[in-house]
Amino acid sequence: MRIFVLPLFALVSACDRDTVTSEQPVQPVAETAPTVTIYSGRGESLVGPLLSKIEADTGVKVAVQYGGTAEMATRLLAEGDASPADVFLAQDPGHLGALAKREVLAPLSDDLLAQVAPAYRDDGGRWIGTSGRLRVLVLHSGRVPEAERPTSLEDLTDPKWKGRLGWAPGNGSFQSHVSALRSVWGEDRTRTWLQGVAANAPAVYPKNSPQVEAAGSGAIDIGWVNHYYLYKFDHVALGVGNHSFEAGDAGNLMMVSGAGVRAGSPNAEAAEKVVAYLVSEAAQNYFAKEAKEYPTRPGIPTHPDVPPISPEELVVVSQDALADVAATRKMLQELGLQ
Amino acid sequence: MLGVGLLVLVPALGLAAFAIDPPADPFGGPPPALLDLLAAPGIGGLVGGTLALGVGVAVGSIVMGGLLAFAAERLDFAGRRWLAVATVLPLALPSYIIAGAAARSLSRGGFIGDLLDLHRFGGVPAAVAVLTVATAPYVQLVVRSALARSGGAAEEAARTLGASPWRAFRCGTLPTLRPALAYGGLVALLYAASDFGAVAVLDAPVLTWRLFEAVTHQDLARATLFALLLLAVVGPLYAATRVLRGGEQHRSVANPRAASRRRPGWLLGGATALAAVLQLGLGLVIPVVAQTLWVVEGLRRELDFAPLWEPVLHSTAAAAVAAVVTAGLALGPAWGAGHRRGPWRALGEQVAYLPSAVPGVLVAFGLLLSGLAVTRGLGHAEWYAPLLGSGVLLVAGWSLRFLAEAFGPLRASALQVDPRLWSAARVLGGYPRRYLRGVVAPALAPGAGAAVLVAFVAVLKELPVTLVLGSATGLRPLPYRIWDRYSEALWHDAGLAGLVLVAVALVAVSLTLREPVH
Repeated sequence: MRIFVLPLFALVSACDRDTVTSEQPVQPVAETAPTVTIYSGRGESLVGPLLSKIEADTGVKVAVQYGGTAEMATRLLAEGDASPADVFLAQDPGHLGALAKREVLAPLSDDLLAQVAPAYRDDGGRWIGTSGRLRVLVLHSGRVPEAERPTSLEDLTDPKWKGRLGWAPGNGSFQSHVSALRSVWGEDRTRTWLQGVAANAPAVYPKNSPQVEAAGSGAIDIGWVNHYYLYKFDHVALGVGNHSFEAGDAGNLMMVSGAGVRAGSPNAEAAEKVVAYLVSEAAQNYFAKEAKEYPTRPGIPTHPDVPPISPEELVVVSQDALADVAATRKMLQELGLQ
Repeated sequence: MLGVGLLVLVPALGLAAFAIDPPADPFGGPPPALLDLLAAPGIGGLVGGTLALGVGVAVGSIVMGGLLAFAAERLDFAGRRWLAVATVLPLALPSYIIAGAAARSLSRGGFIGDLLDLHRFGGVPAAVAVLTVATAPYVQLVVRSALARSGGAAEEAARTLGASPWRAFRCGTLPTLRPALAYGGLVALLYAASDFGAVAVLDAPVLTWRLFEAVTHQDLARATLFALLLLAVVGPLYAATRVLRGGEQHRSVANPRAASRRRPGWLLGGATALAAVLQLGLGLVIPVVAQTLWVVEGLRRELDFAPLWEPVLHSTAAAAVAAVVTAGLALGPAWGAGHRRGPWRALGEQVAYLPSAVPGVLVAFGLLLSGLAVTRGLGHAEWYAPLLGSGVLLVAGWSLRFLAEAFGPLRASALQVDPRLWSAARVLGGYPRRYLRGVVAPALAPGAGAAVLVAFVAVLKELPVTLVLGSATGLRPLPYRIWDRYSEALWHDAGLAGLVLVAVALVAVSLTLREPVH
């Protein structure tokens, strides 16, 4: 896994390699089989167990390099044709879209694309959604009684929330959602809304999880997060739960994580096999059961803890709109939020 | 020595290359002009935040450190020796641990926050409090030694002439302390403007933290701008510390008679007690108690603890390699500073002190840019990722940061070697190799050992270089683990790793505190 480790750190990496190999099932593979290199912008703790099953289930050997989604996308772009990557697995649709637009990703086959709903894939067919993450409010059920709960994302500008909110403007999911708002509401309304929420002096967190914890401990009453962070905690004991808005509200955004094949990959065929595996029933069940995310393949049930959500309840946004990260970041910088 | 000097320039050259030819944001269209970025709203606020933080910390640490130094040298009360040592201990703790523990404990839901009904501990004011506690020990040590040197003669003379104790101190002793207070305050200012850990954990809008965020978003043009602004802030501060340091050395008095101690009045006693409570409470008690509580809470709720052996092993191996490399690099400048005269001596010192005074996140970013520039210049952009993954840049970053730490003990040892011994050896027909083995090596050995140990502990606690240059290597040392767990709100795991780090740091600092205060 760690190909580029300095010999000086041989001791360390040797130990790592031992653990990794011992977890992998021994499987005879044809000697000619190419190794598919995956650049993963999703964390090792989350997708590692799934990716280590690819070889056993499909016969394709994989090597994975982990990093941030932005970091991996930039690397792909910088390396160009010389990139060792065959598959790019991203946390958010923003960078997938940006790479698709620059044709760094190759078109996927129609058979493969047809396996997920049209809303969960690139309009141009260069990447496919592997799982969905729902944007929600996490709130303390005691301190935010039923009657007081916001029915729309826009309610968060109400002064009654002053000092009670939390958010994470540096986080990728946050920025993707603001990109969606810019597309649905337009620039001015989005800017006014951000200013309105900022006027309520929300506590700033680096990521989603601390907001769930903070809602539980009492530091905030409401956080703005992705749905699955709730389940990382003993949420019943903390007294916190997820909250979605009324049907069609811009707050009900489903963000997909996805994968694509690098254009010019010498292992394109095997690479597409790997991407196909990620939307296979086995992998989709893994995303639903282990990661508690929303499967993108129709007919796969969500985890019992995760309430299903129908497409009518979600806001409709083109995946292209989510790719416009640069303009979103500029807006956040101008507002002093980042 | 020249080689090390060139290595010191590498981050600066990388930064210069990108400042002259700003990189395009790969997802944001054409390369933005630095001047346009500079004019963007919010930039002034970041510079202002950095300066406010620095000035706040400088004032805070002069008051706290000065008061505690005065109490340790001039006041007579039970437990003063103990207090003098204990209030210096926060020096050993990384700022991100003090900040993390304080942020959790002093906010709603924390053990003190709930007691006092506090809302949220964060932002620039919180960072000022945390960094004041982290830097006050420097001021305390510098002022203590100045107080010890100045003696009590002038003050006693003033007292015999009928001046009040305060007036005698103000006119007799305070003027001699001014250089020490100014130097200590400047060091605190430089430290605060360069800090990464506390401002990151407390989300204070300052240059170092926004620079790191820009790097993680791969927004290299904006990061370059922040780096240049940061350089513009810390550059003059660093120059000022060098000037003041030169001035301070000439003021020492040979064998001063110790000033008499007196019992503190209620005002002075109260102020000292308050400073001591703040210093010990925020700098030592809260970090240890809070992290212990997190671990206990994790055990009580039967949460999973990730195995600790991996980060401990990674930390130990990486810090050992980096410490040896650092000591090796510091040897040339230390020898030059100890044995050469004129410009070589000055160069040796500058080479050692300069990179250690630059913010760690800036050194890391500079190295990152040089890696990019070199691989691009060679026409092989694809070599950049393997270079970053190899850990070469990481070790270079750590070594540059802690060159000064290793330089001190090595120079002291180098001074032990009398240059006349070499002439004597030559006259007697000795071979250079035998001279090196028989005279130079034994003299340098203790200094080299101390240099490796000091650099080892420093690398063990280091955060910004570890994050910027280390993540691609696959190394997951203790600071990385703590940082990661903070950002995921897994406090029990962060607490366990943090307690290990605090224990190592306290043992190391108590070893060095045994030496007399210089």
